[in-house]
Amino acid sequence: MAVDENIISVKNLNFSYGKKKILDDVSFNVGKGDFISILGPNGAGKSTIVNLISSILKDYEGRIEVGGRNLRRLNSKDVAKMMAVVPQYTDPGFSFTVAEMVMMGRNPYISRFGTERKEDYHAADEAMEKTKILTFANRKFSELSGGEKQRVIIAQALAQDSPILLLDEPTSHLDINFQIEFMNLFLDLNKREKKTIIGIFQDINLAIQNSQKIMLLKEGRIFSFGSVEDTINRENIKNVFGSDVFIGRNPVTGNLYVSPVFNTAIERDIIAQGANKCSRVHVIGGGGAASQVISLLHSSGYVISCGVINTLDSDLDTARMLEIPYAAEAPFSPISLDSQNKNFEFIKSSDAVILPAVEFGPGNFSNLLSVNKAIGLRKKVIIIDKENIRKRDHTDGKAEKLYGKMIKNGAIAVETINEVLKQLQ
Amino acid sequence: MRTGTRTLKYIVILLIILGLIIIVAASTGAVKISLKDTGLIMASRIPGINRYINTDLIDYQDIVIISQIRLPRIFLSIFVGMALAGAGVIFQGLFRNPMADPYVIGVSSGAALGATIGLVFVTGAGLLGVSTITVFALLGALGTTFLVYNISRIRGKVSVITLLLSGIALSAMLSAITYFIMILRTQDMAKIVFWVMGGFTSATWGNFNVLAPIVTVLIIISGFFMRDLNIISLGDERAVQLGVQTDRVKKILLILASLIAAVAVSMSGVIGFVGLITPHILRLLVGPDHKILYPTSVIAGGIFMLMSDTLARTVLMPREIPVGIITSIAGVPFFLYLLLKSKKQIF
Amino acid sequence: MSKKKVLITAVVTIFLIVAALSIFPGCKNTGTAEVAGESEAEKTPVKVVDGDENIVELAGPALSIVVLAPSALEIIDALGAMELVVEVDSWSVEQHDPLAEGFEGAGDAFGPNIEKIAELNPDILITPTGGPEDDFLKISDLGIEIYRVINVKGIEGVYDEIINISKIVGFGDKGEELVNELKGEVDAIYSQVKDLNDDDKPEVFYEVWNDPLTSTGGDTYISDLIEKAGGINIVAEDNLTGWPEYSVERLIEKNPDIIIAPVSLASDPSVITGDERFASIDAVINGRVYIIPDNSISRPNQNLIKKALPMLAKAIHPEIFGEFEIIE
Repeated sequence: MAVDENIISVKNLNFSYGKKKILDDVSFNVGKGDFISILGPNGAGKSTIVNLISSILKDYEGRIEVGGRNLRRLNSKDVAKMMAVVPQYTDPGFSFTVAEMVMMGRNPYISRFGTERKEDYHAADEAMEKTKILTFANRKFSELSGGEKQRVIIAQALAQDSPILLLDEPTSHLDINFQIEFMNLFLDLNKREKKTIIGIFQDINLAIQNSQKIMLLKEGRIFSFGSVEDTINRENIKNVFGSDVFIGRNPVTGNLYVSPVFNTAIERDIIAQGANKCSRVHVIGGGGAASQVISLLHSSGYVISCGVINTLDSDLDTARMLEIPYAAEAPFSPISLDSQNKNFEFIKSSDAVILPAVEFGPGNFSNLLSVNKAIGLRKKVIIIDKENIRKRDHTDGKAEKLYGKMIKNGAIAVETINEVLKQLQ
Repeated sequence: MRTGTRTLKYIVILLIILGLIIIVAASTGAVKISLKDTGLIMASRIPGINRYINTDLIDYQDIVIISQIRLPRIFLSIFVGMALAGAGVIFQGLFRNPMADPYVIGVSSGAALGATIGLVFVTGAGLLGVSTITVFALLGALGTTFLVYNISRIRGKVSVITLLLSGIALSAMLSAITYFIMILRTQDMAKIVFWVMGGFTSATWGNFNVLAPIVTVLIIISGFFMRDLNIISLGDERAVQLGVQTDRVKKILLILASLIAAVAVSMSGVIGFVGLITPHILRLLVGPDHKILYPTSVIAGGIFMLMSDTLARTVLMPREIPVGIITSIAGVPFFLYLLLKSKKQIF
Repeated sequence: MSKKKVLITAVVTIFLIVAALSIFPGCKNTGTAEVAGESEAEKTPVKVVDGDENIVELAGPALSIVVLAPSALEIIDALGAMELVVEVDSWSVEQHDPLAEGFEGAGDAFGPNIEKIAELNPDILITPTGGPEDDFLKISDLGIEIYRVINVKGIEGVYDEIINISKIVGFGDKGEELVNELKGEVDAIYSQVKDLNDDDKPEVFYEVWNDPLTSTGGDTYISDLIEKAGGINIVAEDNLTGWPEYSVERLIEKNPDIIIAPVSLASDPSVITGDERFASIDAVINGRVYIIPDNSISRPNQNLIKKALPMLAKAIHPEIFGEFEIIE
């Protein structure tokens, strides 16, 4: 039989707990050396998949192959040699020492009638070194802190010396320093020792930053399975988790990140009442000041345009993500006539114009002029945070003066973004 | 030090202690027999050496007392002590419960009812050198375990909590039936009470020759599952993840431990505390690793029971104190002392 | 070898070992009692039926006896055979019973000291019924005969017991003599009351225990004694047998003339007269509550007739037998 490239192969997996169907026709393959995160809301079936693969649950329909062999034919020691699980907590009934706990990971290799051998002590020591717990090998497990305990549990799993690691929310309850430390360790194991890792993480960002592939699970079915870029987008997240999120890209690491959007009850009420009179809104952008407004208005159902922003501006990412038309300019260049015109076209076809707390310099002063023109066109103009214009004015007072003029001529000033919605009603 | 070496060290120490106590026990009693005579008589029973031993000068009655009364009593108490302590370790490990003892799933009330039925309703000479009462007690103990175990099985898995609860419930019911029989047959009431209270006063080689090999084999077989027991204490799921066939091992250990306890109780009645306290004391001394805890508890159980029985028959000579009283009086304070002295976590 | 095979092999091995052990009998003791010297009494074989209805046989009368039953000890003393006794029960020794003088004690009916008894190797062990069955089995395995004291149901039983023990000690004639003497004493008392009308026979309640209220049924020897002393046992009237719990209400309803109790229940009549439940009973009102020493009324031997019966007679019919007094 040809050596299977896939170290785990799941075909038509169906699993029910009593009458309740937990997993519905799940099929996927895991390649050797993959780092996959399984994401999904509570109850989607993530832990069930892990429990089925690791042979804790047995009454399933379908076929699961591990290392090319049918899982049903493997005995528990064989399975334990192939994969190690790192659970969220472990609570031993007795006060074992750290070394004793780690040595339990060697169980698959020790015969019932045999005893621990040199290789076993060696493997256990190695595992403790990797998790930096050699120094407290003789302390009682129960006396350790949460993070230290988890190091021991990881060491226990590493002592199993298995090609596959299954992580079941291993860091969910720990401080961020441990989350980073462990994630680095897992990445290391994946890259250097070529361990195949399948993980369930509470923290989406932790998952998408470190995995190559994401499996989105919804109500027992695979909603999406692929690379991070392919699977993580607003619709998918909205579909699977039912929440609105903001997906951005970290400028330093280049990784995507998911940011939840928080709407209080008042805001949701306002949103629920829906956009009525003014349905087309143009938002002046610049320096990231527009993103929040755009997002809020977008959730409320307004049709939005944005401009003029430069191409490195995060407002651009927001606009792109929400698929909003925008006028853009090359960075470090003053706004060209072209861009100005385009911006003005947007303004002309909108019912309202929003001016967020943008920083104004000579380069983008024309944006402010456009807003002034909009007042002349009897468009509803809402200015946010006029109080601090002085701080944002890098035009020797010109911007401040224009602000004052616009307000005299009918522009509405609001303190916060939430009031914008109210004004638009 | 490696686990294996440590275990061996402890076992040797305990065996030496046991040997010394056997010698002390054999030479003490209501009848004064010199240490020298005791030694000679004991040596004359060991196959191999006995050719070289001359016991002609010793009073015949003394020989009878040592070989037919004290020695069977000594060895029976040792083996019952070993059995109870071994079963106690296993049950405490399986149930992850410090209160678990060998009688926890109804073995004692089953044995008591069996013995009651045997005493009251059956006449006969017994079976295989073992008295009728003992046979019926064993049947009662095994039957109860079988019942409790089957009540607690859900889809092939045994839930530990259900086991405990059904054990308690069934024990109560069987005790009630036993008391009812006692009231109906008040003339046998005292006999039943004495059997249940237990003791080694009537120990015979017949009983011992049947008990010892069975208990030995069961204790040894159980010993091979101690690594599994360690891991099972992390939780059923975790144990499977670490390669232990949890359901199967739990089943096997349950059956073995119940058998061990059943055989012990049917030989000696219901003697408390040894099975409960010995594992705790040893856990404080050698740690929770069952690979070390089990063999050491087994031997310590033998020592404990032998010492208790010897005290029971010497403290108020020529009166006999029921051995169960000695085990509770001695065991509990000693355990409390260790608990207070030790800052380590016991469980 | 797979695990399963190891287990099966082990189980099979166990069975083989057990089977082997049953074929070769365990180390059985071989010696039996050695008779020391010629006997003085008649060397007639002894065969009696004891309290457990077992047949007890001896080749000849016993030359050494361990007595764990104080009642039997008193009989042996009355027969003049105390020199045959080699040990007695520990309780009698602790109580400084004169008959126990010079002995150390060999345990008691509920806990015989097997070692001591084995060392003494008596021809027979006399002990009450009951007690730890296995211990007595062990003693009998050592080759020692055991005689269980008869649980007498009536005065007749005492005669049987005395005859049995007299045969065991080889003083059969003495036994018969004693029995005849006792019969005479019983008759001396009974003849004076047996012709009385029921109206003239006081109603008597014997209180064994107060909580639960326990008394003696019609088939007990105490009931027999009450009858022979010219009284009517109210519990027997209710057709109860054995040692039953008696309803307090029934007691009050029956309103006995006399209440009798052993010292172990009440050291003094005031304990009974002070019992609130009994306040309305004639016996309490008229001060006819009598306490009898345990040793006289609880031991099934000649003292029932020599001590208990006269005391009961005085309590029940002082007009015939004189004022009540304790006979030690």
